[in-house]
Amino acid sequence: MATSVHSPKPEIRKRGEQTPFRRFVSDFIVSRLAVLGLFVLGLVVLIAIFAPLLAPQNPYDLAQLDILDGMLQPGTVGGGGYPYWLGTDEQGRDMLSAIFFGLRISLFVGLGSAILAFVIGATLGLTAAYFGGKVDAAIMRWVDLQLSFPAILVALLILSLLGRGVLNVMLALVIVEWAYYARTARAAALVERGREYIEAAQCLALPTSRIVYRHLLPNCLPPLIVIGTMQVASAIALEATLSFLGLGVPVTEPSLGLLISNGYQFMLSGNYWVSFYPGVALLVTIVAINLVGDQLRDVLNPRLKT
Amino acid sequence: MVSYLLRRLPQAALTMLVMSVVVFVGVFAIGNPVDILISPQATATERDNAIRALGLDLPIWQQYWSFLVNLFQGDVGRSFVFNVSALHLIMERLPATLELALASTLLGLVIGMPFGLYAGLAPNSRVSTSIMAGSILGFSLPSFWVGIVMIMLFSVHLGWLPSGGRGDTVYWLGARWSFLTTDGLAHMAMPVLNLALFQISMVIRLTRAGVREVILSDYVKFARAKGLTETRIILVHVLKNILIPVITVVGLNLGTVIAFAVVTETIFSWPGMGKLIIDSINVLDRPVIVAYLMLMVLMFVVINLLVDLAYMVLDPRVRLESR
Amino acid sequence: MKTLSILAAALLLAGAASARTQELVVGSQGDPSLDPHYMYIGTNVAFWRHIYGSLTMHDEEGRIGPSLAESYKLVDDHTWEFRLRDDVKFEDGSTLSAEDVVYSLNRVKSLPGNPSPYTVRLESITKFEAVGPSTVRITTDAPNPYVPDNLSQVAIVPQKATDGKSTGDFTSEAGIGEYGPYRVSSFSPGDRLVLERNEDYWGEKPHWKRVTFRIMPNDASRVAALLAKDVDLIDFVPPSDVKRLLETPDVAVHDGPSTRMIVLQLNFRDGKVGALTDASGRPLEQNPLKDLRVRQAISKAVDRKAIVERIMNGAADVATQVAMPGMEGYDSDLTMEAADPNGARVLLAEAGYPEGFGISIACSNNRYPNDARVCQAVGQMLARAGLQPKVETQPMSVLLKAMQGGDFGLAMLGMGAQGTRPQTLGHIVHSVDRDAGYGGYNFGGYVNPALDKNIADAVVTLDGDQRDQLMREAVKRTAEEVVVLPLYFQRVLTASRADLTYTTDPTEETLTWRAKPASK
Repeated sequence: MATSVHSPKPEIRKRGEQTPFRRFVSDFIVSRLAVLGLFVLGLVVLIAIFAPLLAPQNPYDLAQLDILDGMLQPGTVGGGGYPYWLGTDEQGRDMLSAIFFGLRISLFVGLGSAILAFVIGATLGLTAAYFGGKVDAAIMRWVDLQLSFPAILVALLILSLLGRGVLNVMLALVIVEWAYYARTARAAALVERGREYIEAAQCLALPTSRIVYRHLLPNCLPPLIVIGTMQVASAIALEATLSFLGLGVPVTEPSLGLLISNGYQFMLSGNYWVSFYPGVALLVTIVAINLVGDQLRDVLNPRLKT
Repeated sequence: MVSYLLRRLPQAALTMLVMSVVVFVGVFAIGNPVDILISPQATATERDNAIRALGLDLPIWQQYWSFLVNLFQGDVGRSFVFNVSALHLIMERLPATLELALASTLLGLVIGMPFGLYAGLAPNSRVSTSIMAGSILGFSLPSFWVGIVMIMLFSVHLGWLPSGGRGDTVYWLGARWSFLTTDGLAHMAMPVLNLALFQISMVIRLTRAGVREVILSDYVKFARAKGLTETRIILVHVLKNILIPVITVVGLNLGTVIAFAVVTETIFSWPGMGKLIIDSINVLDRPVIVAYLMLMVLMFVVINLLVDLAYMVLDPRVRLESR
Repeated sequence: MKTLSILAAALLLAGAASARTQELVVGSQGDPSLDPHYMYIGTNVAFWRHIYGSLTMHDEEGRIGPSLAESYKLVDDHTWEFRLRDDVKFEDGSTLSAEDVVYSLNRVKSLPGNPSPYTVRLESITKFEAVGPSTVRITTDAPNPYVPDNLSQVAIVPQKATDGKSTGDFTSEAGIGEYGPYRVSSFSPGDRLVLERNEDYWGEKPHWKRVTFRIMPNDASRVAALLAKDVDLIDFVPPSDVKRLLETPDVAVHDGPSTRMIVLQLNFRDGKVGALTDASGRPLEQNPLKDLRVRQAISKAVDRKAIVERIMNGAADVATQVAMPGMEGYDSDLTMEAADPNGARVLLAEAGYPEGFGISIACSNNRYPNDARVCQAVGQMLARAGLQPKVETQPMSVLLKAMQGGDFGLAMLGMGAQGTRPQTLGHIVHSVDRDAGYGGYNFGGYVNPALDKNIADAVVTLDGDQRDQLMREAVKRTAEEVVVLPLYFQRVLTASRADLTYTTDPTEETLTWRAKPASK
């Protein structure tokens, strides 16, 4: 394994916090693809943060839109005097600006809900696995309850109740996704729990929280990260699907998903750009997230070390 | 084993009970189906009559109680929209969805496992990198978008496959099936692929991740040291161990696939439960929504159970009985 | 390889064409209820017209005429008499009698568990009786000129075949006692309805021997199915795809006027309204929409022509008033002024809102073609006139609840015509009177006794000219007071293979006998 070459010898570990981080960095940059992914992801995040400065138009300001500029081909110069490099949609929204702003919403919704769901899910999953018995039963039945609601239907019902909105979408996504983390964390921890190092830690009478967070959690991380990276992607896609079904973020503040589902209806009419470019943006973002996630998983997995 | 089952069943029943309350209250809160369905020129009397006829004038707890009473008599209620038993309505459409979901899961495994195995065994080869990059596409593009692109390409431009519907069906085991006729198979191709894309990617990734771990484990090293052939090591030692996570996730995912069929069925006009449920949510046809969700819970409970049982069989380290 | 597949495709096409000369496959938005008295919605009416019939029927322009009744007349102010044809044959060989009609109307009234009953079409009818083997007398509690109109929407079924049958039976037995132009051959809910021509039909026999409705609620799926030649005809074509379809050589688009008008209703409720706010988002003390100048400003700000051209792709007609030509009360003198955002600003300033105010626009996103898009376009037009609009689009089920709670500034609705009577007047303009069936969609709480009287007087006036005059007054007053903002009348869009002709129906019903092979 290439990664093993860079692994420092065990005794260096004791020295301090900086060294594992360095090791982590040196392990991570082994994959050029992952570095590229990180670079693209950084770029995407920067674009999202600075969208108001970069975009020629504020697509969320209705007064700046004009339907007379609607459905223009990419490259056309509109009423505003600047070219619409990626064309406009039927509202006269500059697709380039809309994509910049849409990235913000999509990233916020995707990452935000994934992180929240991760924290809630992993905590409960580990708790269940470590303590077992009644705690386990209670938590896992709750998880079963969650999982027995098909994600998309739960989200639909929640949004039907709460109405459209970015925070509402996030809430719905967290509610439907935390259980996946919980179940995965428990499944992994169940296996780990029986291993010698946990038994050893227990024999040393280490505090429970220390055993769970310092020993159990790191060893359960790899499958959680696999699920995590997939969930960020699926959160963004689920948000798009909710928009397709008529719920989701407000139509005047479209996310990438909403832009795609909006343009979906123009696919057959030949106005490909309304759906195509947001699709590309979504694709690039998610691929970047996953390239980074994949490498993280390999680097963080203690069992891949020899 | 039996005691495990006995413990599990009441829990499942409780799950379904809680769920039915949530759905009841939820749908009640969204609105009144009569307001959506009735024509605008209806007088107050007509509206009230319609509401009374559907039992919607009673307080919600009373509606729920009569629902429970009927449930124990094996009646989940009649659809407001179709005026037939909700269960009958769903069962009528279940085979179409099941056919779609199972076929796509199968496709996911058949395509995903070999690719994932390869990518895991030779993680740094160019082919593996391409496989992994390709797998990302599977879950990053919204399925409705992929669906319409597929229709444009295969139906409109190339004219190879029908754009939607179930095609010819054959009556077998008390239901109609498409996969037994060539026309039906042609109609199935696109929706199945559409639904399977996500699963293919997922299986590839899970398999690869599993293989990479297992290949470094002591027993594989030991097997190698014993001089076993590489084929035998992969087929027996590696494959057996990666099956656990793959089965867990694929199993758990079956329900999600069935639910996600909502989108696929809409685009490909596939007359399954997904289309039914989305229409039912649109008009707040509560009996159908409740019955559908109950069925889903039941399915999930069974799937979870099977997954846990598979765990026990495949991984002796997991002993559910002992706890 | 390529030649092979082209050859195969050509063979397939040839085969399909010969089989299809007598067969029509329709990509249909609606999912039928085979019980013709269950669930009154437009698509269901279109389905039962294929297999049953009604006493009266409208023609291609929407004019009402005889059908199962060969004639009908007013006996006195409260009594209508219908004389039935004697050649309407049922499956068992018996013929249509007055008893069947009475039975059918009774069945409409007593069908259990029906969330959308057809009884709304029996309005003001107190009694129906058979006064002879083929004469039915109908008594109303007030003079009602709309009885023939209304009865065109109510299916007549044979008593013998359907007595005691439930709605579920109609589905499981795949149609009961059909005697219309077609009989049901097979029905697979959510998938397809197959009809065979009824060779014993009393009227003009349709061209198609066999008609298959493929149920496809998704707009894009229907268009794709037509482009892929899986179906011959599709209904409810999304306006955004018309251009593409027109450019496709082997596809024809058939359009015609619809009586459905898209209208924005305003909130007239007293005091604070959550959806009408100042710049910081707090509800205004006074409802600004109560000021006529504000309503005029909003109307001025909305560029209806741009909406029709840009968002509806020309598949709509700008509404000048709540009636369209041919409807009762249509006033050809009324015009819709051109959009004028600056004029709107001036009016707003005059009314005391120089900086505008926050106003929510509530729309559905799954009910009418392009509803959510039109809503956004209205939003940007209001923004340009200095208002701070908030566009809220939701599925109809969610929207309706918000509207009932009065949680909107402007709200979009689609209103069809009831026969020739503009529905907007009775349902949105008239104040809420649930017992009389008025104001069912008047969620804004508009009350104007003079207008109420106008409308109520008109609908009990039997004389056509006099009624038209009264309606015209109501229409004019509605326009002067800006009670609602009429936007546009939809157009019925149907598309088919290029070798078919089709005449659309103003009620938006898809009637397959209107499709015919184009004569060369």
